[in-house]
Amino acid sequence: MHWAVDPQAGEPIYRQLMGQIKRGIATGALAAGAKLPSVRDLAKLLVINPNTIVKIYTELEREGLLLTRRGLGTFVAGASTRLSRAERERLVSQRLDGAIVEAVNLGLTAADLHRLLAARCARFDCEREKNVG
Amino acid sequence: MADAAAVRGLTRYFGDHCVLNGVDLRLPVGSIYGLLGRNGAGKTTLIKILLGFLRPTRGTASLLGSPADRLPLAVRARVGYLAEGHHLYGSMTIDEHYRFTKPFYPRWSDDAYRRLLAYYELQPKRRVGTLSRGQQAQVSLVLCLATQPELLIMDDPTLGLDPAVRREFLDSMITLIQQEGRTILFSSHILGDVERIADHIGIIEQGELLVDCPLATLQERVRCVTMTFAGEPPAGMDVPELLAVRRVERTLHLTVTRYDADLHARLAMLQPATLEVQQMNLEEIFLAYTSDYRRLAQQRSAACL
Repeated sequence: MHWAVDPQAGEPIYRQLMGQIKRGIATGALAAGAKLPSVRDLAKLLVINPNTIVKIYTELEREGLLLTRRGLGTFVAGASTRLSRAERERLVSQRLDGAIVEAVNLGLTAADLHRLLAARCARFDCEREKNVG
Repeated sequence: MADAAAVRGLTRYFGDHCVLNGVDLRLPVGSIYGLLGRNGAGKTTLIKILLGFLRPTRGTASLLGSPADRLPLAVRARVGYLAEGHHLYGSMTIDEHYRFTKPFYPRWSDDAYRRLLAYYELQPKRRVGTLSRGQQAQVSLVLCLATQPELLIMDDPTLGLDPAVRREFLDSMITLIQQEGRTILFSSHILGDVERIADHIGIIEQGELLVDCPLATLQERVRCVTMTFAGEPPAGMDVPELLAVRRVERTLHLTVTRYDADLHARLAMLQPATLEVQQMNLEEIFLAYTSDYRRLAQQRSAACL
């Protein structure tokens, strides 16, 4: 897993990093059970405020993607410790709402969105194949 | 959370020139607070009042729970201060600075002093006047960190330093903040650095503190909205959250504070052909506050006349 943040990007650093971890887990670059760098190490590596990393790890733990074992570190959660299906669907729905609003504002139709979503999913599967395979 | 420093209604005049105007600021324990402002905005005056070097014309300031203008020595010894420009004695060696500084600080750590000198590859016998500017900055940082400050206040510490030395400075700040109960307040013009390591931001402009909040909050609230219109864009807009506006042909680029669904709906009612919302980096946010805010406020009050 390659860690990087760019303060010049418009996206806040905590969002960049949170997105990277989520993406890493989704694509398999961070496998279930994998140990994440300690807050101290990651803060040093990226030269960012350690509080930012604490906040991200806590948030991802709340979402069930990570879990912290006292004295051992932070790990990628196994599928069984994840949130309930309803909870997961609720989280994704929120993100989709944002994309739908954006699409409508930009003059795209529901059909356009379906086509785009299918294309993005196919591309994602390719990437995941590379990481897992 | 407790505050390492707090000021309320702080006002300071130099003659009839108002340098600080009713500033309220809180510095939570454990935070890295980035104080931003253009040259002459009042950053250094605010820092000097916090340290008790200057008295306010009105208002109060406290540091580690004590009033700033009557800081007990024991409290002062818990505060590290790096002044702009790193004032050291050119004819003295690093070790002579060490012997000069140490007795003032009961919490002084020889271990930290040696470790940091070694980390920066500084020779204790070197005369400070023969060191490069970056090395002098490192010496003053080493002397400051060896006092084990609970609160570290730095006025533009990386001014004029090369990127490698700057990076080491940030690294040292990260190391310090990892220790329980430590707090850092620093000013800087290198906003990429501030964005990396600060978690609280203050923006001061012409003596007024326009922003005092967590960086994450600032970046959630301040957005750039781009609206393109089929016809002529509306000339006047009743949007109190407007911070800056630029027009290019039929497109308006608005910088707004307090972005939310309600504001989005109100902007959509202007019926733009397209409406796009983007997050901004700290540098863009800072520029919106410092270069456009005044002009817009003036335009508004002129429009009211």
